[in-house]
Amino acid sequence: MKTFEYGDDQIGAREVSMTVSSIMIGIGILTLPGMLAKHIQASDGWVSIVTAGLIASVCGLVICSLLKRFQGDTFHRFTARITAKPVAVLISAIYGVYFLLYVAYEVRSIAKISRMYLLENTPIGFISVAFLLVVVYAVSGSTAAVIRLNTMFLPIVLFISALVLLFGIQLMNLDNLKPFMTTPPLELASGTKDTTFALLGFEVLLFYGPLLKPGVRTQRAMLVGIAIPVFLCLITYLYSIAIFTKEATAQILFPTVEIAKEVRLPGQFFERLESIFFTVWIMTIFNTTCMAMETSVSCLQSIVSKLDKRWCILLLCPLAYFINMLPENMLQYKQLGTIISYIGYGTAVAIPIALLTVARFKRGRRL
Amino acid sequence: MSESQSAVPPATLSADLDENIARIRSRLGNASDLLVSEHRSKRGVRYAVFCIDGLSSRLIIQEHLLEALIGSDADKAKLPVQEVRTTGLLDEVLIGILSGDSAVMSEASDCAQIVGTKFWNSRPVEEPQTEALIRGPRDGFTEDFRTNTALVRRRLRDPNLRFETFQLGRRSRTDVAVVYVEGIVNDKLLQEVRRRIHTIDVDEVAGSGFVEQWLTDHQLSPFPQIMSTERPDKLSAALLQGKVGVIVDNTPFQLILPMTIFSFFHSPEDYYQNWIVSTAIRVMRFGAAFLATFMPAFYIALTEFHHGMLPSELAFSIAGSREGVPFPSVVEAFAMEATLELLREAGIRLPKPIGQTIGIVGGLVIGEAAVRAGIVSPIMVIVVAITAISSFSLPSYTFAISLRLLRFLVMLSAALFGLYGIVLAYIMLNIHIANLKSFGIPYSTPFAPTFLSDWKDLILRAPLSMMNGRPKMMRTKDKNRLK
Repeated sequence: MKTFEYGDDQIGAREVSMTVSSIMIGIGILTLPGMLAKHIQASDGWVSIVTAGLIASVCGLVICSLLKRFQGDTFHRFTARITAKPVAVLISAIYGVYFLLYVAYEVRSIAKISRMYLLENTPIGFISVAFLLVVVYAVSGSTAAVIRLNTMFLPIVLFISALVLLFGIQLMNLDNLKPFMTTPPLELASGTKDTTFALLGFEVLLFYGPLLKPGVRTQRAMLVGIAIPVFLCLITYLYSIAIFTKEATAQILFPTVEIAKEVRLPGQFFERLESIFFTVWIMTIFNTTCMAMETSVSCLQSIVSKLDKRWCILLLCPLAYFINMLPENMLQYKQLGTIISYIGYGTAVAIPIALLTVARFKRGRRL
Repeated sequence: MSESQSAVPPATLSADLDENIARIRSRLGNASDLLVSEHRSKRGVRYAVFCIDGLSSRLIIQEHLLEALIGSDADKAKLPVQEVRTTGLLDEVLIGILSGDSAVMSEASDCAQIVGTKFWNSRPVEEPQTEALIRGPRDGFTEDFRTNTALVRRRLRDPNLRFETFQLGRRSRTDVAVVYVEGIVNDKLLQEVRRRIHTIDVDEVAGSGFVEQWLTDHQLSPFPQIMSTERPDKLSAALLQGKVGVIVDNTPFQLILPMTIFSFFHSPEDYYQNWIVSTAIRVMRFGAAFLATFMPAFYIALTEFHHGMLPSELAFSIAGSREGVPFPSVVEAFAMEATLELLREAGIRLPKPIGQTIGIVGGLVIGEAAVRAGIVSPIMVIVVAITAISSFSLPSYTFAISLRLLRFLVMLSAALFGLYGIVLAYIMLNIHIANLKSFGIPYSTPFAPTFLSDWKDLILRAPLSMMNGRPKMMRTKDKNRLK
């Protein structure tokens, strides 16, 4: 039955912020404090985080100006307009592969952490399949619904984080944060590199161009969207250093979850808050994965325009599962992460900047 | 109705009274409840009066109609009744008679006068059975169409209140009215309602549940996308929010559309009470809905997968109480929840005095005996009891029943994956809700897509003086409630 258009399939500034935040808050924040503590003294990591946040903001602004320049156009079409058709196909393919890897990585991480904190005996394959199927269910719905899901889950995730952080105050030992500023700048720079990986994902907005309401102040929304995860990273980093000390944080795989483990809620109903915390965290990881999957699907669709959305999903889902099952041990899992982060620098930083420069250049020549 | 028997022209009455009587008799198969009386007026004009026994008021016919006809000394008798219309079509006369009106025909005339004499035994206006309130009006819709429209009209004396009445169902010819307030309702929504309702082309429209199922956007969803209510105050309040009502004959349940998920947590009582109390109660209802859906699943997850999550004393006491229970908690939970649903169903079917015994038998005897026999643990009985109480505390029966259904799915996923399964089930529920629409309006409005100003009447029920606008999500024409 045909329904009349209600006009809510377009997204405004609030949805843009929430989308950007949702995709950025994912696995990255869980591991970030540990990664930083490995080579950064005391609490100096905040410099890295802030710098990474600034870099992300600049890249975010680049993406916004691309979107503004080609308002209402899909990513594939405007890359084709800026460059040439074969180049656009290549770029879409890069993004498609990148986001597919991203999906695989997130699913693998979910399976890994679930086994650590929730399901000790369930095989990774089962956990991944269940999660992937839910993602497929979401992606086969409408894009507007995927964005609505961000608006539904992000407040819950932020609320539980705030709860954990609030009750974690009593555990903090501020002396652990000292001494200040003792890390050499080069180490700080490598910390920035680690952090940017945790913050990747905002480039997904490139693919939501046609959904943006005309006249929305995308820049501001983007900055707000980036600020929330950066702030969350910063606070969890400082918390884990203050609670566990730098040395211990470096040894913990998922320090953010461990904070929740230490926290005691008054009333003592739940002995292990980290299970609840991680359970809620699954929602935001789901959002991240879901948008990545959707983007991957839309990339495939723009390359092979005849392919139905359902077929795309049917094609990509087993592929994601296969990649997800590839890493056999911790080392290979980390390698997968590194590969993705390097492609990520390309997709979030290099390609948008290159596109914008070419667009400017071309336009200048034409005028 | 658009009954286009394109080739054959509609049958008309003839000028011969005897032929007309014979035709009507034969069309109704010489029905025993068809009353035909022939009279002669002072002038000697012959009249015939048709009505169906039991559907018409004999008092009106005898005292007004017949007396006027017999006493008339004009060629054409003037009828001292309020509702009269003239027609020459045989079918229209038949429908008129069958819906309780009387048809008056005179000699040498090919027209009949249809006089409004509808009167039948109907239930008086009583307190709604399914939506009882402590504070608020106690009148509820009845099975009578006219009474129902009057109940709404009494609450809104706005001249802009519209009843678009037509008949649906080729054989049942049920009266259906689309109700709205002109000047508030969004025109596009109204057009869509009209378009959909006129696609109903069936034999029988059996109550509003039928119309509801015909109009919903998503047939595959367990969630109700249209609200049915027995309360005229609920309907009239919804009309003022820019919604559309559908009143159907022969049922006390009338429809309100479009609906979003949050409306099912609201009760008219929320507006009759202090806002602080109402807000607290609403928060409680959300908690109740959560418990009703997830509580047994949590029990399964905690006992089967995550023993360490509870404080050790509680974990020990649960484990102690489960000692001797031969089944895993999954089986235990499914058995008990299924029993609960059985009891509920049995309680509805049985006559009222016995229905209460079922509650006692089920709740006390079976629960106690099952625990004594060591089939289920006492904790499980508590869990089932809390779920039952929670699901009955929701104001909408249709919504509560779909949550009860979903509970089994959540339990299944908890049995497979523990807490992980519960959160996946929760995500799936949300995906489903995010994709649902009711007449084009996303089911999760005003939360997502967000309409911040509508949050004043979402979980919070702001003081009435602050609720100065109509819901923005309804895109109403008149935006202000307070001046």
